[in-house]
Amino acid sequence: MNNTVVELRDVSKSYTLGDARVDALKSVTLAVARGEMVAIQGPSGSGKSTLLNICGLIDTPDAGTFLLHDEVTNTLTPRQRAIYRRRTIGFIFQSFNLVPVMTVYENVEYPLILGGVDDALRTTRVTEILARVGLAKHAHHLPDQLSGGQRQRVAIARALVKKPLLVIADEPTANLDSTTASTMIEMMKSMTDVENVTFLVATHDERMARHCHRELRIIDGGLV
Amino acid sequence: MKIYLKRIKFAWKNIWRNRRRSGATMGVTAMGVTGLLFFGGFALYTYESLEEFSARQQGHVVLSHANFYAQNEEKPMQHGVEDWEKIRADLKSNTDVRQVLPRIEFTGLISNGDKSSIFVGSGVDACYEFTVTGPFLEVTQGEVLNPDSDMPTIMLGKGLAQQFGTHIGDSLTLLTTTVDGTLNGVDAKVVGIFGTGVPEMDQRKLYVSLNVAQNLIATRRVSTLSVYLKNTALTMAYVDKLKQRYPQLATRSWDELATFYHGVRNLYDRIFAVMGFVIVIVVLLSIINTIGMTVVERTREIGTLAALGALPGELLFNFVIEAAMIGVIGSAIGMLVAGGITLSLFYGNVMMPPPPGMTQGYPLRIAFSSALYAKTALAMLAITIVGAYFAARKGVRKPIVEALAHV
Ligand SMILES: Nc1ncnc2c1ncn2[C@@H]1O[C@H](COP(=O)(O)OP(=O)(O)OP(=O)(O)O)[C@@H](O)[C@H]1O
Ligand SMILES: [Mg+2]
Repeated sequence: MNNTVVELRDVSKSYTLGDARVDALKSVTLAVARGEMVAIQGPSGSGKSTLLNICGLIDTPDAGTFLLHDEVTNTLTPRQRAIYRRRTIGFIFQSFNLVPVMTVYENVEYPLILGGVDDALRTTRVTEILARVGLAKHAHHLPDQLSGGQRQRVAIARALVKKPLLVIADEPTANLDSTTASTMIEMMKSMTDVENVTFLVATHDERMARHCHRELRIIDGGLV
Repeated sequence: MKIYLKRIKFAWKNIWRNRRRSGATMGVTAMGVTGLLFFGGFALYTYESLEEFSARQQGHVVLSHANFYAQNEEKPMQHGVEDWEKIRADLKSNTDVRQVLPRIEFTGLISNGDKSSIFVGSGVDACYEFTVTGPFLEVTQGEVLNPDSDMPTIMLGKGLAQQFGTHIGDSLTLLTTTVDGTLNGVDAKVVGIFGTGVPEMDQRKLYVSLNVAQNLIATRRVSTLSVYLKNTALTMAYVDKLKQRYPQLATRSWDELATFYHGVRNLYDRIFAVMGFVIVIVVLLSIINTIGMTVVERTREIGTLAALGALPGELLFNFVIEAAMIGVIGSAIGMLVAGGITLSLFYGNVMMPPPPGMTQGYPLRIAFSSALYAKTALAMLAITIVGAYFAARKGVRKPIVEALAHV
């Protein structure tokens, strides 16, 4: 087993809108190592989200191979993908996507429940990660009682609490003001380093990109 | 907290995300439950009353000559029961039997000398008949037949009494044919006037003592022996026993003879079925609407949870729990309302108008049946679960990327 977590070989994906065919990804080849934080930049509609969705196992390529930790994922059933996601992939969304009826604590705990982690370990992990994102005091607040930055910190905690191999973040700072965005970027970066997780971030944000180990540019569905 | 408790907690919070919509569906469920319990309880009460009425009138089991129901008599009492005293004594020795009443059914002419009319008479055991038939015979004037009377006495239906302008103490003549076809008559004193609740009956019906009827027809036989049991539930087993013991006689249970009871029951059962069907459809549509809209509203949440690794089945189950909660709360409210109505009717005494062909109304009551409550609640639970399943089935399988892009 080598150190590559994400590997795409000639991955293509296209959509048809009426008669028009849009090639969202054109034969993309890419390898990302363990613990690497990679920024994916590009203009709107260039294929960033498409790439991330495939890497996050919530979408499938039309052609090419996607290997996650050296395992070919093309043949996995939807159920197997779900199981894979709950164990190994964390997600951070642009609009936070916290569950409004769950408290901060419960939102963060949810992935661990899905993963079948036992009671005691769940408590330790959730408490620990909430402390690290600075939300220990807000554990029993509901998401709509929090600011945008606090919500995104909850989302970061939710993505990292299960100690995933890979975290997918699609424009995580787009809905935040620039100061908050900076804090968030710092936080993600330090988490990446401490936890040794692989981080794929789609972003328009130059500062975000600069913080990453590597910056990739995608234009019209192709890496440049 | 246990995980299943958390699921219930989240479901509980979720159903209140749209109070008005969930509340409306609970209301629809509650009304459906109340409607079913109200009408169901009313039907059950009616069945019970008619059961008692039938059983009181003709007895739980009626023994007669084998051909009594099958053929017309060519001569009076041709199909009467012979040696009935012996049979009666034998039947009474059974501890389940409360009473055995012999009866003679006969017809003839009744006259006051100036005019005459047809009557339908019953010769009865004056000692016991009127205690057993109880509240279903209303004596409006005078009193019931006296078994110790040394002269023939009669009780007249009030319509019949009216035709003759008869009062208590007047004397009337009964004419009928004897077993060998000759005409026979007797003068009898009127001791009582009664109403049965059915005007047609009151026009024709009269009671005399068994021995008066027997003398008039010149027979020792009786038409039927009505067996009154201590408990209606014993009827079927007892009928089987009697059939073995007296194979030469015809044995009928009250149930077989109560055509009115069965008519009403059929009608009410059908009304209940139609009503139940409509309620089921309304509740089903309501829950499908509620859950369907909830699923659409929560599309992005579904996408998020699915991305985190929740399976469609798990997501579907959450919606089913929510729907079941709505169903349970709605049913509980419906039961409380129905229970309240049952109690208030019990103490309030609301009268129903007389049914067709009857002269008297009856109190509106609804029976409380735990089986009916349980079945109704289970039905509602099943409907909400089925409704939620169909309403959410597609939504939880939406492609994750699409669901996440939903606004
Ligand atoms: N479900 C879809 N149906 C049709 N076309 C789609 C669909 N999803 C994406 N596309 C098209 O694929 C291309 C790539 O889209 P994608 O969302 O990956 O871009 P992006 O780089 O994430 O853009 P943005 O910065 O605006 O988020 C675009 O041209 C887009 O219109
Ligand atoms: Mg995008």
